[in-house]
Amino acid sequence: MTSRRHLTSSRVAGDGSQPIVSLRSASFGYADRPVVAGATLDIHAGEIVAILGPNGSGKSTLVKGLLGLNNHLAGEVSLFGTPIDGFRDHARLGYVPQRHTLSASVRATATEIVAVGRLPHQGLLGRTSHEDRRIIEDSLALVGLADRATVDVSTLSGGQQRRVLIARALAAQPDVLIMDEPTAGVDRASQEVLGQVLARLAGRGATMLIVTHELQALDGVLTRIVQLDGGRVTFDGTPADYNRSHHAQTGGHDGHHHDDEAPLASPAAGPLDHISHLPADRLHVHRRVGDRNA
Amino acid sequence: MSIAGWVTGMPEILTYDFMQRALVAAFLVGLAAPMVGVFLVQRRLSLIGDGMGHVALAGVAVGVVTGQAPVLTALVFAVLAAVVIELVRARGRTSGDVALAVMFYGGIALGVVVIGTSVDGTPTNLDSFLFGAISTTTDTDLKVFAALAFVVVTLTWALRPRLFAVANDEEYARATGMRVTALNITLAVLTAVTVVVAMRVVGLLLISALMIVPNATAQLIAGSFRSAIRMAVAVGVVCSVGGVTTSFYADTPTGGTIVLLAIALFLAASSYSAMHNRIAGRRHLEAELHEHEHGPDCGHPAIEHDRHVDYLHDGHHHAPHEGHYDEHDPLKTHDDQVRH
Repeated sequence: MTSRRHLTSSRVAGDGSQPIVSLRSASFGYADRPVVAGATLDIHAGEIVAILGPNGSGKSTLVKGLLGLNNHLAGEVSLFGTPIDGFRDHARLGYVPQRHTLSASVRATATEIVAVGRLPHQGLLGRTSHEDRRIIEDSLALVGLADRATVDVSTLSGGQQRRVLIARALAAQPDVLIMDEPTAGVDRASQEVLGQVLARLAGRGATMLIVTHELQALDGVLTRIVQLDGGRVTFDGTPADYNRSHHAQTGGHDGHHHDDEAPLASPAAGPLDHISHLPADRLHVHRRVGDRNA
Repeated sequence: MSIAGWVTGMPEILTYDFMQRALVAAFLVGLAAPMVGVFLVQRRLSLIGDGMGHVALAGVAVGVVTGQAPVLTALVFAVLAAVVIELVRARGRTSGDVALAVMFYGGIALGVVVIGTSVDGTPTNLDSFLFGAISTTTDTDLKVFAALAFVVVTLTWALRPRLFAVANDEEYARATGMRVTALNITLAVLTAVTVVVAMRVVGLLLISALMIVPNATAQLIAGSFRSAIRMAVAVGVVCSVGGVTTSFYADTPTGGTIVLLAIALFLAASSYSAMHNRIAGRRHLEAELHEHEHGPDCGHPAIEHDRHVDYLHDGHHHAPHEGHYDEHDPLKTHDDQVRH
């Protein structure tokens, strides 16, 4: 599938209005212990979703579940319309793991790390082609590291290393980027640049699923916020809705409780119902609205 | 000096059949061991080859006692140990470390006891496997070694990008659908085969050194994984072939000579790299603590300057260097300001 376009949603749009990620009462966890329980969620092309929640709320477990890194225990999960158990096209999910440092046990240049992203597109004995090299260079340029391509990654700052990992995910030419805490624990300059990188990707119509607890760095980029607490979805809506409900929560009387008051505009139905409140100037709104009854 | 050597002008060492075989065997081991070893270093499993050597000893003993070829039985034991090691590691239990220790010491103890039961089971017999006995390599041995070394080198080279990916970030590799456990078992089996091939050259107790030390040397000097792997193989071949040659003329045990040579090169590389860093540190001037990161759209004019880019920042020329920026003098050349 070398003809894939780089991180644009148009290809997925061609698949019809099928969600990229679809969860129905899904549970994920380790061994038989569910960490995320009963999550229902649809994510469509072009959406930029922050997954928020306190430590231990199941944010990482949720995205790792989508990547097949833990056990899918219950409910239905499909990726690009394929049930997760039969999903094999892993390169469509661009994973940016949470890493504070890249392994420094041996030398490796930024290019060498990013080249790993191309492996799913190469045969077992395949080698890096000219096309691969071009994509690797483009990916590094997209995260603003073109001038560090041949530098040993262990000499880069934490934020730069994080961007190398984003470039690695981009090199796989995925349909959705799944990032685990991309802005956590990096210095201010890097956080700013990371914000710019994410905005640049958003401008290209990339679909992103970002686990975070720092909304500030993602200001203006997000189209949707999903909040988890205790392994359950407690809010799902636009950033504007989130701010309103957040103010209500912190200023209101029952600020400690979180299970049912979070979505201000919500009737008792499933958490997905907020998606119709997305700002109309965003792409793909029509599709999301059309999917409400999914 | 033999007559043949005098006639053909060959160096004396090449006039003996057993030394020719020894040199070929040394070359094969010098090639294969660092190539496999780099992934062990990358996975922080530098001592795993040592453990496999322990288990291989039990295999050798069983071979000696049952009259089978020790190389074959050692291969079976080492490969089984490799698979068990990876399965234990894949389960990720904290007790895995202890399980491996039990297996490794069990291997060496079993080897010693089993060989004690054999009729001609003398300590000398065991010594040749523990410390290497390269000059006793037979033609058949050499053919087996060559075939095994060929398999190790070819497979490692072919799987190199994937072995790198898995060793670098196992979780990411898994998320992209790579068969991580299968690749890890493959690497462990390749390590086991290398241990057996190297057994006669450097001995079971010193094998790990030839897998690890040339890589440690290369890591001090190389700038990329690709160049490090090449350098390690070059160092490995130089040490093993050089060690055999040295041991021939100096009349020293081969395995020990090879490893001492490898360590000497490592020490030389360390002092070179320490000196280089000190000089480079003195020669380049770091810009003030920099809260801003330069890039294509940072707003600061980028100036192409002698093979790199300087960003013009409040009248200063800032050149990206590793994680920081260097203060550059626009009138000097690149080499005058940074030395990599």
